[in-house]
Amino acid sequence: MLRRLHTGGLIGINLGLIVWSAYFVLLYALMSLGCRYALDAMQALGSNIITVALAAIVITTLAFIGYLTWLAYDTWRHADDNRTRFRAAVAGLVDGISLVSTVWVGAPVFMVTPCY
Amino acid sequence: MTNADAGSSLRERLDVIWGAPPGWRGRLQVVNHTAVGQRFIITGFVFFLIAGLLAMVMRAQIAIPGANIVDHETYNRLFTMHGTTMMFLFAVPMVEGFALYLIPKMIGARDLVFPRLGAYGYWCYLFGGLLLYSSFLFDMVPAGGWFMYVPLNDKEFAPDSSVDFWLLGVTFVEISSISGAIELIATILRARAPGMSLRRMPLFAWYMLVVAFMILIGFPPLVMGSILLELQRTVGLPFYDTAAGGNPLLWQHLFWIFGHPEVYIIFLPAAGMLSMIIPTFARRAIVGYSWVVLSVLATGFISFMLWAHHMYTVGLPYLSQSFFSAASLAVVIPSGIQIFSWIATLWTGRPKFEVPMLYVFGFFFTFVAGGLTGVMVAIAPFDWQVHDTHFVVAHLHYVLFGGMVFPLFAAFYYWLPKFSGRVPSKLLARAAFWLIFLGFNITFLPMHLTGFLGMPRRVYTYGWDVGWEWTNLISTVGGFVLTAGIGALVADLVLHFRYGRRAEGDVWGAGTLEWAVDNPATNYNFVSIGPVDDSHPLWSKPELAGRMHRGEYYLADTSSGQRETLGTSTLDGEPQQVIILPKPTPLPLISAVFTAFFFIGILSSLYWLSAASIAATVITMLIWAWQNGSLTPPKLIDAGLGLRLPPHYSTPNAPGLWGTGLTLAGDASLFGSLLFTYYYLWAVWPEPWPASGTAETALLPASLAAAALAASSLIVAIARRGVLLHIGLTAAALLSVVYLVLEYQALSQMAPKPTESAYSAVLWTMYGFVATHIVISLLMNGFVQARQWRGYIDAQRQLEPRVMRLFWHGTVIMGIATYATIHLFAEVI
Repeated sequence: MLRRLHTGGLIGINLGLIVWSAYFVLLYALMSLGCRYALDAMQALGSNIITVALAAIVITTLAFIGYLTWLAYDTWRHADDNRTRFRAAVAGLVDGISLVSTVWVGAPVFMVTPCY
Repeated sequence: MTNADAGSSLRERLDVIWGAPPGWRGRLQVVNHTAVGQRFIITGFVFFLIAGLLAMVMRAQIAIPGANIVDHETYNRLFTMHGTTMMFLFAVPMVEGFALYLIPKMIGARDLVFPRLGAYGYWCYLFGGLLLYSSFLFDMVPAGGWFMYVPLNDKEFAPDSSVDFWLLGVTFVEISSISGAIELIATILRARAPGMSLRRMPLFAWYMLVVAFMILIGFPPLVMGSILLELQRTVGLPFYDTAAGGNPLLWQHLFWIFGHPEVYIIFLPAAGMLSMIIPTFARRAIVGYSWVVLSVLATGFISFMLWAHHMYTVGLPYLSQSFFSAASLAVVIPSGIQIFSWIATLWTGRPKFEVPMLYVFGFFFTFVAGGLTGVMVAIAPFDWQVHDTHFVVAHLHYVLFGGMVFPLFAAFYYWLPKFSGRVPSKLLARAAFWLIFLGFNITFLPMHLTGFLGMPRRVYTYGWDVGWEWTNLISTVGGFVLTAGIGALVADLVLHFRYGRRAEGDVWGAGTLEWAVDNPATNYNFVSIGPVDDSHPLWSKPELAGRMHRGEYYLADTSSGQRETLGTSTLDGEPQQVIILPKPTPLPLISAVFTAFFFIGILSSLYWLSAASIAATVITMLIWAWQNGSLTPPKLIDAGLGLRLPPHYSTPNAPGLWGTGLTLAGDASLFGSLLFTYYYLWAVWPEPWPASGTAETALLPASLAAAALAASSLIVAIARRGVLLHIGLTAAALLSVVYLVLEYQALSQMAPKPTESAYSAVLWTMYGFVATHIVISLLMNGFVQARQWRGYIDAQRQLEPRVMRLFWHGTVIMGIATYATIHLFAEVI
């Protein structure tokens, strides 16, 4: 089902970037709300709770987009017509850039203290 | 009769069917995309020249320290109108105008799928621009900068109507941009030539598809921000007033959520033009088609997540700045992919060095330099140092002039034969290019240094002792050279209409379908619509253009006397329907005139005029909708080559349904901006917002109201035809009125005075938003019932009920989201 959605149409092709966009908004919104309620004073897993929550989001998103990338690659590899091949190729490339952007935008979570 | 004779006779008939009525009255009724696109381009270019002249007065003023050419107030007006004109009246309308003109020709369509909407968009653009510039007549020219920050532009610091001219003029123009976006998306996805699947689509169409979605989603936040500011200025709803729970940074967020994608909305179409021009002159298909498609999609998405990099200095936490900084750097990847793809195409091709290529190389040099300084300002600590200095002015001009104007001029020269049927002078064109290229760099390269030396932007003068005099003088000299270059370009363009060599056929040896259209282009583009099985059909099938001209393919039968184009499937371009297009009509112009009076009424505080004008606009649009094609029972149309297709209005995926869905997408973005306003103000306000408790959240009447609204949607979905349709739609209408009354009572309990606080203001604005949609839904409801009563709706003609249902459900979803926000969320917190 997810494979068909991902490589079957215009919206599906963009799934990696749609997930990345939601991820970006979630990171920004959660950090802002966490700071509003001073949650950075609370600790979990040896770090402040905002960083832990944001890190969990980064890792989950990476895993999901990684799975999407594999789906697109697998579809591209087994495609027997140019139409499917093209859609799977674009979907896979979109996933690839979404992966890079997820790592790139998520990296500061592990380096910068929130709320300062 | 020979094939050639048949083609000639067909052309005569098509000329009659697609021709405009004679005289100036006829010109005012034109809806054809070729004429409308040309009007956008010419009007946009005139605004470009005006904005350029404003810039030259500024450059003259700051050429030397202590100059007295204009005073500080005039200088403020000049930079405000320069930026506003370039961004809203030149760049976006110009690229949309190019797309409206070119897209049908490139994808093998005879016209856009909503020609009257295109014409209405043009008039809105023209009248909006005139409204903005009429501020000069009243000595109320906006002076608060092109991004109109508050509180500088609130009533307290800008008490006259200058800001209102800006807010209303720009919003009026944005109607045009958004309507153009809807038109382009529906056309690209629904009216491509048979066989033109997504992987065979010209790259410019891919670029414009993404850009049109960006406009649809990106412009509404500014429209909403402007509505809120206008409400604050006229009736005192304090959205941006800190003392009343509002926040001026809300404006910055709404503005830049629009403003940063805007940069890419301007750049991407220009990049799309390059992706068409470069393969032609390299004489090979673009290298990495899929990669370019990827980069366009990625740029479209990532560009929406950069907005706060314009706000590094407002006090955002470092981690927030890091997110936006990282995203700002990430957007370099897709931009880089495109640049490398173009270079690889030239590298592996056999390039010809014609005039358009001069501007392509001008683009490479300038845009890459602008992109590099963009990487610099994307890094927060660097931006803190150069924020609001001339370094930023230099950067943005390298990006926008390099990324949009150079490709645009390349496009002028490339597609001019379609426009005029002639080719301009190479000598004058080359002279113009070098003056523009050198002039631009002499103006803006030293400006980086001026910024490093600490000169803030928007200052009208400076002293002899600050060290900015030489760089400013050089910039001004460069500005005059640039102006001379633009003058030479204008002279070349004007002269070529008389002295240019006649352009025959495919002038540059290009491979895409617009070069199968005559020079200059006919109103109907193609005598018949040919099948496509390659991304460069004229290269793979050199005989295609001739056969299309001779009427050997689809829609060569003109016996119906109607304007027709093919409706095809979204992904694979399979023929599905014949889209019947409207003929010339004054309705778009009349609607736009009434819309103009709506804005004039608000501007002059004549609210009765606004109310009457909006009523008149609605009536005009209802007449417009009534005239659509389904007045006669549908029958299959002979589309040629043995294919018989239904007319669009009898199919379940007619363009009108797409138009409604896309309108709702833009509407959802507008509504999303209002929800953002609510949650943003709640998040930044340190007090409880509102105090919890049932009295403040009015949960009972609000829940009953929401239930009534949800029930109306259910009934609308069930009631399909005949008497049941009448009964169902009447019941749904009554339920929606019940919602309005109950929700009004609930809000009156929660926040009796909208002007009391930002919270109250947001609540009532959300109510007003949903109420406006309900009124529109009720009008559509009545319209459908009237058509049913006249017998225009039956088992095969379901377009109008489908459109109404879609809009009704969209309205109900917004109503329920409003309920969830202002009642349930308030109850929970």
